[in-house]
This record gives sequence, C-alpha cells and structure tokens, in this order.
Amino acid sequence: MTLLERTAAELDGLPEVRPRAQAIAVRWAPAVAVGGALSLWTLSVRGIDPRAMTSLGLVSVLPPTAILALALLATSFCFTVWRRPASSALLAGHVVALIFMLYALPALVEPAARFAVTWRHAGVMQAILDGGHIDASRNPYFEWPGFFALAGFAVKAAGASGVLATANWAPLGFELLYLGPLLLILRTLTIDARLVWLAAWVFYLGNWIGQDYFSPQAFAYLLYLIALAILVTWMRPGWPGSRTRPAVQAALVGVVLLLFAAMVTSHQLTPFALLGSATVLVVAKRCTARGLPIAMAVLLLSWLAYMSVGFLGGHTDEIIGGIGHLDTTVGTSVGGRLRGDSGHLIVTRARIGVTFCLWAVAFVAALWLRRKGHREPAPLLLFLAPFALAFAQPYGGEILLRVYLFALPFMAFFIASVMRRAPLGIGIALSLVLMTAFFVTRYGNESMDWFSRGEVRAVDRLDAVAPAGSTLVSWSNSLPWQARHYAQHRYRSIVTGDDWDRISRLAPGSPAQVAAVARYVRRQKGGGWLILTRSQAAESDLTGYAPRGSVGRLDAALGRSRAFRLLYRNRDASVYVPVAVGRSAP
Amino acid sequence: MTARRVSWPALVAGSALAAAAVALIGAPEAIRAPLVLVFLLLGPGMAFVPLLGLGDPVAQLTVALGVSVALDLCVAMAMLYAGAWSPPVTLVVLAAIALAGAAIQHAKRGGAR
Repeated sequence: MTLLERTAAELDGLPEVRPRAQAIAVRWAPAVAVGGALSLWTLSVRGIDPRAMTSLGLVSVLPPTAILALALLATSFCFTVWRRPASSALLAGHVVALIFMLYALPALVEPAARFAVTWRHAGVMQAILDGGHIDASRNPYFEWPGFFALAGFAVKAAGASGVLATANWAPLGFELLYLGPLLLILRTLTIDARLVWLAAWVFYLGNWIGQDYFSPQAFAYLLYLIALAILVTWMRPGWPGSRTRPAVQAALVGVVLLLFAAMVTSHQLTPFALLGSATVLVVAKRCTARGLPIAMAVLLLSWLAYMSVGFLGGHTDEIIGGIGHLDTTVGTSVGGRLRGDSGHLIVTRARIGVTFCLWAVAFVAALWLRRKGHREPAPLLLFLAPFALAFAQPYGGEILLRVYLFALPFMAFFIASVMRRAPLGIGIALSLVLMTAFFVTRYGNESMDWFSRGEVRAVDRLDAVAPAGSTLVSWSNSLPWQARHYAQHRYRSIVTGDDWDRISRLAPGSPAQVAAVARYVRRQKGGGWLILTRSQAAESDLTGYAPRGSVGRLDAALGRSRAFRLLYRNRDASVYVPVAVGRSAP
Repeated sequence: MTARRVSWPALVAGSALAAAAVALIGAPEAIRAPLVLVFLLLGPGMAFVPLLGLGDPVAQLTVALGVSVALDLCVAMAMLYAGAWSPPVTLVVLAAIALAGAAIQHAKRGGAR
C-alpha cells in the first residue's frame, strides 16, 4: 500500500456515531456555509468603487464582509476535507464557489471589459471576421489565427455582436472548463478523493498568472490540460486506463493529435510545453504511445514552416511585447530592476515571492513523497518539464509565468499532499494565506487594468473620427483600444516610441515636452491622433515610466497648447489632434 | 437520471438540429447563444466519444469537450483557408458531423442489443 492509499484509509476511518440532530447539523453545515459565503461575497463586492483602488489593486477596496466570506468558505472547505467523510458533490460545491469568488470579481465590479490586451484580441478577431481571410504577412497574430477564427465563428453563430460585453466572464468560464481535465489528472495521482479536491483548491488559489482572459493562451491551456489528462489516464503503463483495447488507445492518440493540431494553429508557446511533457513521459517510459512526440513535432514544424513564415522571420515582438505590463512587472523584476510606486513594488515582490516559494515547497514536497514511498515519477516529471521552456523560447521574463502555469497542476498536487498531512488549523491558515496572496498578486495591477465608461467612450470617439490608415498614439499601453479597426490603423505609444529617451527627460507638462510630443505625433504615418486616459496615467504612475502625475500634467498642458486641438474630453480621457506646423506655434 | 440511461445519440442529434435551426432562422441572441454554445462545446465530441467506452462521466465529458472545440476550430480554419468563410455553413458542417456520429452510436447500440 502506498503512502497516499494509507493516508486515504487512515483519514477516512470508520464512520462516527453521532446523535441524529448533531448528524444533520454536521451534514448540512458546509452546504449552508457555501451558500452563505457566496451570498455574502456577491452582496459585499457589488458596492466596490474601482476608483477608490490604491496601487495595491483590488485588494485595497475589498470590504471586510467579502474577506469574511472568503474565510468562511476556506474554513468550511478545510473542515469538510479534514473532518468528515465528505461527498464529492459537497467538495465540488466548495471548489466551484471558490472559482466564482476568485475569478468573477472583475465581472461583478467593473463597468467595461478589463485589460488592454482583451480589447486588442477582440480587434484581431474582428479583423478576421471583416476580412474573411488570413494575411499572415501583415501581422504576427494572424500566423496563429486558430483561436480567433474559432471565437469569431462562435460569436457569429451565436448571434452575438462581439465578445467585449461578456469578456469579463471569460476567466470564470475558462477556469470552470479547466476543472474537468484537472480532476482527471489528479485522480491518476492519488486514490484519496479528498486530496484530489484539495489539490484542485490549491490549483485555483495558485493561478494568479491571469492568463485566462479572452486569449489564445487561455484556450491553448485548456487543450494542454485535456491532452495531459489523456496521456496520464489512458497511456501510463500500469495505470488501469492503459489496459483499454488497442483500437481505443489508437483513437485516443488521434484525439491527442487533434488537440495538438488545434493548439499549434492557436498559440506559439503551448505546443512546445505539451511536446516537452509528452517527450519526457515517453523517455521515462511513462507513456505507451512512443511515437507521439515525433508525430507532434512533425505537426508543429509543418505549421511553423508553411503557415507562419513570419515566426522564422523573427517578428514576434508585437505579440510578446503585447503581454505588456506583466512582462514589465516580472521581466524587469527577475532582471533585478524593481521600480515604480511603493504599492506596485509590494505587488511585484509578492508575485516573485509567491512564485518561487510555491515552486520550492512543491519540489521539497515531491522529494518527501518519494522518500515516503510514492514512486510514480510522472507528476514530478510533468512538474519539471515546463522549466525547459525557459531556455527554449524568446519570451523574456514572461516565460517564468508561463512555466508556472504549465507546471501548476502538479505543483498544486505536491503542495496539497503535504497540506493534507498537516493538522486542520494549518490547513485553514494556509488557505487564508494563499487567498491573500492571490488577491494581491492577481489583481495588483487592477488600477490600470480596469476601464471606465468614459475611457471607452473616448476610444469610440477616436475610432469615429480617425480615417483608415491613421496612426493612433497613446502615452502608454493600457487603454481600451484596437478592438474596432485593428488592421486599419497603426497603434503607437510614446513610452515605447523612438523619442521616449528625450521626452522622458523633459519636465512633465513643460512647453518643451509638449513640443517634443507634438513632433512625435506629427511625424506618424497617415497623421497622428493622441489619446490620454486615466488608465494610462495609472499605468505610468504604477510602473514608474515617468514621475507621478506626469500624464495629468501633460494633459493639462496639451489643453492649453496651440500645437494641439482638443477633439473630445471627459472626466477620464482626452483626444487631441496636432495642428499642422506653420498654422500655430507651440 | 443515471449516466447509463442518458441517450447520448438522441441528445447530440437534438442539440445539433436545435443549434443549426436557431442559427439559420436568426433567432434572438438570448435563445440562440446558449443552444449554439452548448452544442459547440460538447456536441461534436459527444457524438463520437461514447463509442470509446471511457467509463465515468467526468472522463467522457472532458475528452468530448476537447474533441468538440478542436473539431470546431479545425472546421472553421478549413473554411477560412479555403476562402469560404461562413459561420452558418460552418455550423451546418459541424451539425452534420455530429449527426453522423450520433447515427453511428445509434447503429452500434442497436447492433449490441
């Protein structure tokens, strides 16, 4: 009997004999707690005002009652796992409630789709719908159009006008879809059903990466989990699933290849992660489908060679640069250049700390389990395999986040395995610590990631007036644009432009800076249009692109300057067009 | 209703026909979106996956989810690259694939009886 089997047998024990009333109370208490936590959470977060957020993000505006709801759910879940013979339905109810509380929060409190990249992805999808064809030479996104084609097709077939109205629910949707394959994977790692649910609990508490918005990565990750679930459930020697008929085995290999094909056309990184994991399993003789990695490699290379020529031409910067602030946050941090607002520094440090801490705990737990007699090498191999990506892909600091994501199911399993052996109190305390870490790390940039209706209206106005072929210019990247005319305009930001070195050295809002900005905007192809928003100011202040308040000072100076004409202004945004040289002086 | 008693071929065929019908007649989004999305997420997969006899519902539904979205994507991409981009036609093609799978399941079940 392995350690985990023993654990399950010991902890399940014999059913306790209790008086009837007490038994009924014990039976229903967790269900009542889940319902109570959910209602309390929903009621308390409804009143959150995103404008009140500090640079710590959403955690700074969570009301005490919302925190109480989280604590109630964590306590009830741990009681259910530790203390009583629990039904899977009850444990599942806790985990689903947790997913709702962690991942639907922006959908409940924010007025518009969050995260600038969501808007860009909506724009890429729209460009494919408008054109009805793919021109991979124009934009690297179109070299991996699979997800956008699927989303565009689904949106049209469903009769919806677009994805932005429901985009804030995408994380909840994706995370719920991940639950099926996650349970399949975990069920092959232990026979202790409660450890399975505890590991799922840790998985959701640990998934702070935020790669579950409307994106190819979120979709490719679903395919990755399902493919891994098939490999470990039906193709692992010695596991009961591997004893299915050869015809079924062959069909399942076909399914993995179908999933891989869909992944290859959708995302540039995930296929490498799955290929790596499959290869490691085959080399370690933990996968019966020996030829699978070769077939995968052939599919992957065929796509790269014939369809996405641009990948080999090396212009992936637009996609990778588009990951934006996450890249700057962790990328620069890993490189040792921490900067920005003090709250933002806390968030950044928390992200690095949580990531490395959880990796370390999981690794030590894996070794400990091995010493205790848990000999199956597959989970450790699958935990370690994604780390090879760090050497193989040009993702910069961002790659560590993706490594974390791909290793997460197995990391969660190892952490849950040690947690399960700890006393109940420790279990509750660890859950609460992970919850706090989740809200700080995941929603730490929220003050720049959320968009107000005013910001969206300003972008609407810009889209209405700028003719096709214009260059739209922003201060920094966080704004809700690119959703409507992604392929027709060029989009530039001052902080990533050629003149940034000069502009950043000038006093914020000074006539010299206004003149430099005017020169930059005028020089743009097709005529430049400038938009400044609250979210860009928040991004600039958070990440420390420029001294605090720079965007506000520049905005005020532009309003007074004769070098620019104000086209539109509301509380959160301004749109300017430069006045032609000769007609005015700055 | 237990998993054993669910008639997957009938459910898949019903879902495929309903999705295609509401899309083709242009039903309002509130009716159309749930019917089409449920079909796209599970229909094409559940048309074939029960043939494998994978056992428990979580395993079956998970594999079916993967097969469904991958098939949806492949058909949509094929239409796109063939220069024949048309969401309604793509949906009809997927519904036809699902009906074919449901028919095979039905025939196998009849044969086994």
